[in-house]
Amino acid sequence: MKDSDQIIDDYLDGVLAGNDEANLLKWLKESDSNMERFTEAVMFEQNIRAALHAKERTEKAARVAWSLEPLPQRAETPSSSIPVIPRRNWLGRVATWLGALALFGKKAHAAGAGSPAPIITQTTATIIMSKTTVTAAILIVGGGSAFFIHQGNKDTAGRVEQLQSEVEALQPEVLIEESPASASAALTSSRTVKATLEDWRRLHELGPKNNEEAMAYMEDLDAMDGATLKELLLEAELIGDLPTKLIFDILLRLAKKSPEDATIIGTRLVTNAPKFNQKWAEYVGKAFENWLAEDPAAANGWYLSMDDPGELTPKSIPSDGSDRWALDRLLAGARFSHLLDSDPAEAEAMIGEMRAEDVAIGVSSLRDTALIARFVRQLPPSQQLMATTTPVTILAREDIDGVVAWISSMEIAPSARDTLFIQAVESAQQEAKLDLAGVSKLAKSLPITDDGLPYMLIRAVTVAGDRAGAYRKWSEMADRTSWLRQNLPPEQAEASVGRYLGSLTIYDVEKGLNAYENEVARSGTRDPNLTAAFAQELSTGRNEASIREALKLIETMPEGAQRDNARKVIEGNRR
Amino acid sequence: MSYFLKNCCASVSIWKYPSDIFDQNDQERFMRLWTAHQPSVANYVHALVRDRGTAEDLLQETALMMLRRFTEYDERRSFVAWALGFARFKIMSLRRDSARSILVFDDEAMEQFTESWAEKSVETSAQRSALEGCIEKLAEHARRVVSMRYFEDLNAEEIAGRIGGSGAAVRVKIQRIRAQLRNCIERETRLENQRP
Repeated sequence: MKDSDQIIDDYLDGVLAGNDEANLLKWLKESDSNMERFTEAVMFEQNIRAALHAKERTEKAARVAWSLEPLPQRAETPSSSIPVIPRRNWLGRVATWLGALALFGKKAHAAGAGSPAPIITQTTATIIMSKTTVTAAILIVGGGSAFFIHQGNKDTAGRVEQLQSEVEALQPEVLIEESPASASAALTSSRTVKATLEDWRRLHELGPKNNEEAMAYMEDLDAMDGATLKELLLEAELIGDLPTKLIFDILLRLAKKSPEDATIIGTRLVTNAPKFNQKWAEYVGKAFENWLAEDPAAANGWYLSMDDPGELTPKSIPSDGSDRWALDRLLAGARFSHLLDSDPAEAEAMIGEMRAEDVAIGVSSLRDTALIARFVRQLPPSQQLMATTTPVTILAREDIDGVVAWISSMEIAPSARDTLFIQAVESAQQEAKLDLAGVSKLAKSLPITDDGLPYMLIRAVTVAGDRAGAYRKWSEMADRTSWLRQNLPPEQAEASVGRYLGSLTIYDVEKGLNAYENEVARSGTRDPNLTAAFAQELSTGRNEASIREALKLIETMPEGAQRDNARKVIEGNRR
Repeated sequence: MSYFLKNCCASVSIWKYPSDIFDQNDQERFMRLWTAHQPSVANYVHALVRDRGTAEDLLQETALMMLRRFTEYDERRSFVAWALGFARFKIMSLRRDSARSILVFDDEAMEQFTESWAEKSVETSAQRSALEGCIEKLAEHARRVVSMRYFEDLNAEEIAGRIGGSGAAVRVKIQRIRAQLRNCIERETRLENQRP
């Protein structure tokens, strides 16, 4: 029988034959490490392939896609043999072009030979548009991603804009045309509205015949204005038994185009539905948010005109956590968040009628520390963290001392305060506003509990340094573990070092184990606290091999309760 | 594409809230995640599916399927692991067609391989970035062989036809080049780790 290396090589070269295939399978199943070795080999092979293709793509992109040279206008008229493909979505069109450039770059280059800059041919564009949907086109070779990313990037946004206007200018040539009549214009009578809804009912109940039919439905809906969508939703309300997903599709779009109508009609639909529909409620909540932003006086007036918003939640709401989407909670939450900015006193008046977690979500969007403190003290300890974690993370990037003072002054549970200190320190470190010397100094004056301190320092030493590869500074391990020992009381030091090194095994088990052995060699003793903590971390959520390794390690500890407890924890981590 | 739609999208669960996938924020979030992790998933698919065209189709189908199910994605989970789950499902359907697939795995081995891939793909991102430099460092002749093998997708016999010698000799050459590249990556990674 061939050795395993040879079998893997044969597999990679595509010449595995006869019994070798069965032998490979047998060998792979023998141990996790065999499978890992095989995976590494296959992955390496694919990485070589990907590296070569990426290099070619990069060079091609440099040559073609992002050329600063203007795209030449084509003088020829389009051939009538190519079908006209209606598309309304510019994003899809541009993404299609980008995807097509990536896919057919070579052909596009050939077609443009002799021109100052190569262009994609109309045939290519038509092929890709007819072969795929807009969504699929967006997905092709990340064309859409390229659009989003380059549009969001200030260096390339200009070029995307340029490309978009060039696509627009070339519109007649690539035969991408607006539909002659808009979908809303087609809906001229209530009979037409009803007929449209009935057509769509069939589509939903039977499923689309093909991709084109599904896309046409979506595009018709997208093209409708607020008034048409409102008409459809009102008719749908009258009909009463249309598929829930159809109602949702209309509601989703109405929430953006006419939030007032979506809120009012949607509220009736959700409240009167025989069965609770989370998606409907969610989008009525979003519509109300939009309405508050658009016309706060009218939206607030409507909210206050309701006798009892609690009645909005149907009795049929399931008790499986779905009440998070109860309409009264969503509407109150939206209004509360809006008032936090515009009228905090009015927001405070709402607290009594709201769930604490909804208040916490609203407060977490604030950045005014005094205002946050005013609301946080009215929250139960369980919600204080939810309300403050995000503001602490963001504010600590700018002013760690101010945030630390603010956290210290907050009337919150000690464990919540510890968590906020840890979060603040990490956030400041990640913005390079605090180094380990700074953490060391800060830790001495911080009112953090004895339990919280090791966690804060382990986190600090883990994220120290520049972001790229910060967690894997294997060459700095000795400095980092020394830092931990210097900053922690002796009775916490060894376990904390063990936890730190153990947590790094998630990145590289072998290097983590080496780091642990180095610690043992450095101190000249196998400290049981260090070993127990390291082994437990090693076993957390890891595979069977790591658990076996962890169990082996604790065998080096002296017999007794500590070893038994560690074994129990490790065994408990077995999946 | 039609295969996917017939088999996937017309089913009740997927078609239930199709408009979810068109929420612009979700779509953009998906795009960003997909762009970041697509290479790992693509490599996984290409590693298991022999025919490049089939692999590309399958990758697109996987992406579309994920997009349609994106509302179910739990952000606490690894995106790569989630994506590989879909890809695995699609690849399994090729199992009977051995002409298109390189599969030698049964379900259990396939699951282990996928799990192992998800774990390793985190570790090998540094390897990927170092590879391009290492390929550049190869001798001209070796670089040509690598390009023919991995860029043009020629097999050993076809390469032998171009550069002379036998297919077996080319295979040995490729194995040596792979070892050379592996050593280069290790060296680069070690240097990177030692950098302050």
